[in-house]
Amino acid sequence: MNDSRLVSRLLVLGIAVTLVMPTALAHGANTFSFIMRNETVQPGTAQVLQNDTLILYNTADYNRTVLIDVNDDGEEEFDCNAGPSNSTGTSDECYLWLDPANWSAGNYEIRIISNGTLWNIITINVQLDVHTEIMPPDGFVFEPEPRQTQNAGLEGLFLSAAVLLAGAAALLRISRNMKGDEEE
Amino acid sequence: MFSGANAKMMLMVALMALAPLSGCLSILGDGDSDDDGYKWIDPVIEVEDANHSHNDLLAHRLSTPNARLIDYHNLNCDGNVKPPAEFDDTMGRPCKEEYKNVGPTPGDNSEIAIEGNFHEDCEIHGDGSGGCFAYVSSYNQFEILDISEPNNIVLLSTYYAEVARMIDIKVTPDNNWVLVNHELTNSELDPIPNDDDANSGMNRLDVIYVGDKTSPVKVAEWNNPPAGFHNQDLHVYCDWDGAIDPREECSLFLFGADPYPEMVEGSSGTFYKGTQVFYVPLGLESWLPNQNQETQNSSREIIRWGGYTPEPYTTCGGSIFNHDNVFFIHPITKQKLLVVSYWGAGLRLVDVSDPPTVADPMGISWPPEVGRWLGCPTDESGWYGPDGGGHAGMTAEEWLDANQGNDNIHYAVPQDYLICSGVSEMDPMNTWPDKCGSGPSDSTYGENWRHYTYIAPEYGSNSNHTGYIWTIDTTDPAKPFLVSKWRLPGEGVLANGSSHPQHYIPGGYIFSPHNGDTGHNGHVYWTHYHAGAWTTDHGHIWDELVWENGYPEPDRGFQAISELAPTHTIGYYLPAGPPWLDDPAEELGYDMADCWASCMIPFDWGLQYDPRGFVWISEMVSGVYVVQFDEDYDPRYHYPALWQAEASDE
Repeated sequence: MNDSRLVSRLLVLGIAVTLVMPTALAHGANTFSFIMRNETVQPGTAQVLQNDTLILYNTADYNRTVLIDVNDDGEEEFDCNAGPSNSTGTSDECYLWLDPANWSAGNYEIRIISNGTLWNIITINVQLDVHTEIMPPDGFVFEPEPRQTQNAGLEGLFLSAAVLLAGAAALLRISRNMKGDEEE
Repeated sequence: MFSGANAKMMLMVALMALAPLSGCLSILGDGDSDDDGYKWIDPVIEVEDANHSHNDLLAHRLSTPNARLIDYHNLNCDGNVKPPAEFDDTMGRPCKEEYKNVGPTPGDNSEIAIEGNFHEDCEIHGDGSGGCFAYVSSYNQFEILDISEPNNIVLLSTYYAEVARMIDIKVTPDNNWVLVNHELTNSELDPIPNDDDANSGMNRLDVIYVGDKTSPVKVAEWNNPPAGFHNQDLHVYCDWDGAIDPREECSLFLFGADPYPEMVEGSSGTFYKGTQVFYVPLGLESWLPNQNQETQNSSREIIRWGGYTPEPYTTCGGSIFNHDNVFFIHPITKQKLLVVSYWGAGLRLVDVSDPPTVADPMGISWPPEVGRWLGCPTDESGWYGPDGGGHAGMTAEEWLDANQGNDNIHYAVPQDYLICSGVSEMDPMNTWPDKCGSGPSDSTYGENWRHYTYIAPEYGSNSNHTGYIWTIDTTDPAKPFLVSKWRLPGEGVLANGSSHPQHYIPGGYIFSPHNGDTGHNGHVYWTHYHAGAWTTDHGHIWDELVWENGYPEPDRGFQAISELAPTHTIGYYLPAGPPWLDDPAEELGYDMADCWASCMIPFDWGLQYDPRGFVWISEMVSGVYVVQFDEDYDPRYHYPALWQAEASDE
């Protein structure tokens, strides 16, 4: 790789890194709640991220059991009892941290047992905890590669037309602004 | 016929040819021009390619013709971006006027607060009181500006702190005390600077005495591990019976938004809530810097006095996270309220009118919630039940779907005054339309005087939407209901060149709503990061609502509305350096390499509305812009842009 190409790549890399770098604006509790009401669960489906902590609140005045078979082997790895609604403590809550080591991307069912029977199922879609920050469109290079000569003619024509149009638009705008200033 | 590259070039040519002919929206409606021949230019461009670079500053020098730059300051104090090494970092330093708008530009600006006797045009009284000032938090520092003359703003001083990161700033109405946060979030991405002054400041609230505007000095600090506060507000109560010291005539309370209230502290068995209220014994007077150390130490005590977090059953699930608390006094009920943004739990109105005389640090019963708004029903019956008026009839899944512009309520701001058909109580009575009668207490027309609270989300990325600014009728704070919603106008463009029904956020928060403020007659101002600052008109919402039965039924709220009222776009302004410079990034030394945010200009964090008709915009890299929209012009406060006159002279 020659120097100019290396510089080009480094420039592209630098810009790309700048663009994908998470800004310091990010914040959030990284928790996601489900409300187990008397009759319904809110929400019934959700998209969550690895590393999120799920909190299931029981607002009914009786126990509920929350079960999850993480690896689909027929045995529930997560088994939590949420007691009757209690606004001064956490006995009515179930916490589940989506440890990336145990939770891969995909769909999971959270089964809720009430009065000994299956009462409701929440479907969650776990997504990888990766940033999808702003990126250039596919194929775009910030510092253009050397052009292919076979397209140079037509591209040059279009480029010239674009520049001319841009120039004309700018002149028109300046002219209007000057006219506007004069009128003021 | 054409290769991909040629097709792109054709598209570019076509776009450039069509651009002057295109139009999306305007204040005149959905038409594409006004009487002066202005063609609407949509400043939001999602796809960065050969035609557009987000880092091309000059390509973002855009505004609607009704927006005028009055003045600009790059916040250069004295030619140095940091104080001299011998300076202690708990003191500020005076600035020199000659450094205004010369390089370097320190950057990393965030929130802006303004305070003063605006309705007296910032007149300085004989006793020295009066004047108007702006305070800009800028990560490691904050700046104080004299804004008494909007067309001639002066940077008075800069306060520098080694510890980051100041992202919010508030000031007491007397312009004597500034409250800043030092918040730690994303610590691995956002490390605290290490040097001999480094300390535990990442979780602090600091009070700075600014009685002398050229010499701010820190007088008190409080720690709130692990992360401090993300935002804060304050209020001084002068009618409270619970003061610890009988000499205390007025009592200071702070309202903090704790970003990690329960998930960390909860592990120790202590469950503080997201909205935390603190009482500061002895209050502001005890902080005077001329007191001895012992007195100051005792004055630094802070007592957790109350707390609030939405009860889970009042939500539809989702991420329940307190971002911001804004204090105001409701113009009808006279309640002292916080409008609180709680992400998936929406808007919460919390009553802090009467602090208890005995602390309730766990927030078991104080402060109480008096109202809420989110898109889904949150009760079995009543106002928040499925048939009630206090939601938008969404399912939980719909409300929590950011792709539809919902969820993530990040900032809320109430009107200070009631409005009626585009006028407020602040306008002369002879300008009131007939339908406004004699005012809010009019037995026939009083109902037409409304109070609104505006809320908006924030998204890091959103593949479908930029989010709504929701207008919530809070005339009765116990029965809030939705009356209008607005998003950035125009259509988006996908990476493949196809059209998208609305703008969206490819990443980096780029076009997300952020912070806002209100004018007195229904105008609302909101920053949208790289999409600039936008002004919208909500003054005629009550007139333009379509009611199911043909007449207003606020007691039925959303259920009685068959069509929401439109929010009208007034205009936008994209700060992109002073227009009298061709290359402000070079000439003013903008830091385009080591930005806190995205190194894009504009990237507008916050703004404030000056009641004289000006908008103060804090742009994260380049500084502070004073902008006036024609619709806000008030001849009593005539401050034309001097830079234009100077340019004409030259």
